[in-house]
Amino acid sequence: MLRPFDYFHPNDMAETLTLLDQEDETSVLAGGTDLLVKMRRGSIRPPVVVDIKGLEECQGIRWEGDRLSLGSLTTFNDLLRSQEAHKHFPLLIDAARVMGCYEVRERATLGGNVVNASPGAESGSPLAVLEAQVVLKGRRGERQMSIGHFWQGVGKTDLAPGELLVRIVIPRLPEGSRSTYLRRSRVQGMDLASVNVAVVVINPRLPESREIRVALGAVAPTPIRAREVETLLRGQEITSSLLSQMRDKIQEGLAPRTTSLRATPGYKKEMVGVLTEMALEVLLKG
Amino acid sequence: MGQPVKRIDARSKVTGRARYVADVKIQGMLYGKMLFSPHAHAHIKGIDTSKAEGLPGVWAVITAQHIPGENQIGVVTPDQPLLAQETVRFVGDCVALVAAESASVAEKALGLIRVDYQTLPGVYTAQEALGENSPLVHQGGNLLTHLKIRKGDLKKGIGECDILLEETFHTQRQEHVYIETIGALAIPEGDGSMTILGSIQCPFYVQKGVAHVLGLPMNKVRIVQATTGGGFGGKEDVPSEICGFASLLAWKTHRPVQMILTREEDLRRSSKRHPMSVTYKMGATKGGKILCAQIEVLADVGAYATLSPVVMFRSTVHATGPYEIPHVKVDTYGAYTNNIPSGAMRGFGTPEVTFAHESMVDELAAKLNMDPIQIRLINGLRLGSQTATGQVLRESVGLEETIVKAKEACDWESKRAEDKRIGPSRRRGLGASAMFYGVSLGAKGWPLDGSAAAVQVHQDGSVSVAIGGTEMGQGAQTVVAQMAAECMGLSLDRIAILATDTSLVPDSGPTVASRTTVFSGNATLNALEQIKRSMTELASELLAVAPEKLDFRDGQVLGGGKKISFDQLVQHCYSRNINLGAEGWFVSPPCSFDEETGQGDAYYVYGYGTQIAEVEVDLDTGQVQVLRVTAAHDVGKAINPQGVSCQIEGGVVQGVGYALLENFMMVKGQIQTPDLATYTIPTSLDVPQVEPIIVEAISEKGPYGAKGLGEQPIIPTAAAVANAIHDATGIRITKLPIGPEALRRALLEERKEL
Repeated sequence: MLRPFDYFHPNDMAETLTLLDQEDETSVLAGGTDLLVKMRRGSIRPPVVVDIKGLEECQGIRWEGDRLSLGSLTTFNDLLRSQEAHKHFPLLIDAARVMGCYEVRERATLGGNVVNASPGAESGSPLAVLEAQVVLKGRRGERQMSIGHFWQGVGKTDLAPGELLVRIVIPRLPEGSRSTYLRRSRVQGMDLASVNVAVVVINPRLPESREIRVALGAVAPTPIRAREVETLLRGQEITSSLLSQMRDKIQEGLAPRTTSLRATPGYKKEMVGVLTEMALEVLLKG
Repeated sequence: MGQPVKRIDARSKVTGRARYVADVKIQGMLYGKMLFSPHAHAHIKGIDTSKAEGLPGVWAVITAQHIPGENQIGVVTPDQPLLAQETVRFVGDCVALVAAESASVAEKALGLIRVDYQTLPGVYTAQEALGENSPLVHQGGNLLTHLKIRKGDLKKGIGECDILLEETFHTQRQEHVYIETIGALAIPEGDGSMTILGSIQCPFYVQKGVAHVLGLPMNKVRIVQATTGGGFGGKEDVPSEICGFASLLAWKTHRPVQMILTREEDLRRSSKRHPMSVTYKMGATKGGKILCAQIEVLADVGAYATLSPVVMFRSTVHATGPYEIPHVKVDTYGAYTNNIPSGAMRGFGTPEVTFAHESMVDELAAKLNMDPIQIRLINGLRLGSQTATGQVLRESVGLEETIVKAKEACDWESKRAEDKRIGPSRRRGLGASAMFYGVSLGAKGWPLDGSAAAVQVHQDGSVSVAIGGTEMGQGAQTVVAQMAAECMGLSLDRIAILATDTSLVPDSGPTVASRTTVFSGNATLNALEQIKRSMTELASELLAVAPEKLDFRDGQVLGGGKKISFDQLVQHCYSRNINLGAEGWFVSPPCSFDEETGQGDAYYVYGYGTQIAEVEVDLDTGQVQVLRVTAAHDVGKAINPQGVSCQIEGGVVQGVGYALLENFMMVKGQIQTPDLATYTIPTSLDVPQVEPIIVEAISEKGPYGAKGLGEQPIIPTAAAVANAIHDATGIRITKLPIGPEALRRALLEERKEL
């Protein structure tokens, strides 16, 4: 049951930031696919809701030099319609395709998905592996930080009171790079990922200069990079013994939630290795 | 008739015009809410409702002490108070009700009610419940029911076997997930009576239950079924509780009260499929003839009996599967626990045992090096066979035909012979499963097994049919309309089927047990035949043709080279004051069941089916994808083949969910899957290709030869999937649902052993 709240729909940034600054407990409404569920459940009861859908600055997908800028209001269907995303970051497409259902994808935004900071969020491991940056705006100015630093825990971010996530920027990958996103879920449609991996391979055809990046979702409080696995795989020929090492190494230090009904921690830890191996098989083929 | 027709309710549902109870708002209506117990087992020391009563907008707060009639709603066993009085026995027990001007005020009021509980130790599994010194859920002891079958000489049977296998299987709690949650609107009438509109499967149960609770005679309680969005058994008895709640609040406030459950409330209150542990000992000769079966079934009944004694009856009668086995011993136990009540769900105790016996039959086949189809054909029931209850089958046994047709349609032989490996870590497999299912209520429900219809032919020749069976999405209205149209020689659009209303039709028993086509169908035909007799008599006079030569066809009554249009004949009837209204009645053929030996004609006729599932298993993840299910079902005459196909498809999908992922989990009596984000069902992307095959072994007692179908298609699916996984991987999984983790674990263990 929704509690009464004040609703604002500002059309410019200054007004928005003023509103966000004035009120203590303000929730930002973008697509609302997480926010409204929480409000209905009563897990948050914001007295003020600021709808940012009117903010042009938070919209659009465009290149800024060699970085692709995605407005925080970019919906998952926007991503699926974006030629740039298809061409340069196919793993984002893989992730967007399995996110929710069509109706949810039409509303849910990339910014909301990032700020919601769910460890298994569909955009989480892809943005981590792409080394995305977030651009935050407040009345006192703008700052930028890596997405890995932005996420601080389950549902926790570095967003300061009064601040708004305005866009996400992703550095261009070297020519010829490949990427994919794989997940496990209980059902194929309309389910959150039980566990997911995002893998980028730079220079796939040149083993000696090849760089493999791996990020994992739903196995730690935030999406995380598997740095040691990346080091292990860098410049190496992929053999079955290396993959077997990888599957062991990737589990180190992981501590998935034990309360998840989707999968037990043991299974999740095994699956990140299995999925990474599957991803490499696809990305290194041909 | 016998041709695929579009459902008569399709347009109203697809366009959103169908009126569900939540769509109905009437002047002065209040909103009802219920307060759940947070504890699985506790003593209620006191309830303070004063603050809630003082909240502006609150019209009434009701607790057990206010109930004017008897605080009892148990449908089979009187063990369930409508509102918990001294004890709460599961977390869906309700201790108080609120009526308020809005749902949010009612909700707020719930938060102001103070209940003082003293928690009690509980029991949470059937095994635990039957242990010595276990806490008692009810004073009479935790064993609710024990049913038996004793046939032949088990010892002798075991002695004659060349092979004897034993295994224990476990099945889980399953939720119905009908698309519309349960809801009710209770309207207090000026004359002191109560009218209730609701999402209801069994209006006559509700009428009896509400009258009992309100202390009213049954002629003061009228139940009208609103358009109902699915039931699957979940709306068999639980709506009596929700309608009881709404009508108590309406009685107290003298205002209409609407109660629409949220999905979370519905999941918490409504009954589920029984979790069961079943142990099978099954033996056969080298030639594959099954000689004996010793079966023990232990079911978690939950906090109240609801329909469990009847569910257990089905588990007992169907425990051996559709096979003729000379020596049988079955013991079925149902035990109370402090879990959510287990009750009616599509298949009613049969999918659970079918998972077990079909796994066993496949294991026997594997050990005997025999084709799984072959062993089923050797042992399958046919005309003249004797079932485990000693019933000799004298009509309508289509099992063999379903086995052969399913086998041919899925290309069984070549697919079973194919290489299972379709990639380094992917395997394919094919598995079969057969079932039988007693139509209607059988020996245990015989006193409820009559049904009525009230029919009238209007002045313009259009026909209204009021039936006691309900439409809940299964297509019953269309089938009855088709039969009525066929009987009167009219087109389908001349027939209207009325919403089920206890004031229009005599008590017709429940709409359950795949009985509506047969029972409402036969009752309708019975009424129409009476009307036809009157019409024929007059037509004979008008046309000067002997009555036996007259036929109702194409909107005409014709014979002996003469004819009159149906509509004209109707007008003549009206001008002569001939009654064109009639009430029809149909009663189940006799059934019997001896409590000591379990022998008797348990059901008057059975439906049969065979499903073959094709699966792909990912060895790395343990994930199973069901690619295709070929499902052949003997339904007697298929009145609407399209409806039959849809029922088969839906049953298979629900069966795939049961096989692979659905699991309503409870830990220490607390629900772990309180919503549809945690309780998952197959999505459209998980649905296999389903190939329905209709087999028609005509039943003499059915209308036009029909039998029931609603439940059958879910029954064999889980076993077919499990057998296909076995074919793909060599792994036998004995516990449902077959999640990826369990399968992967089994695969890893197998690898270790190799």
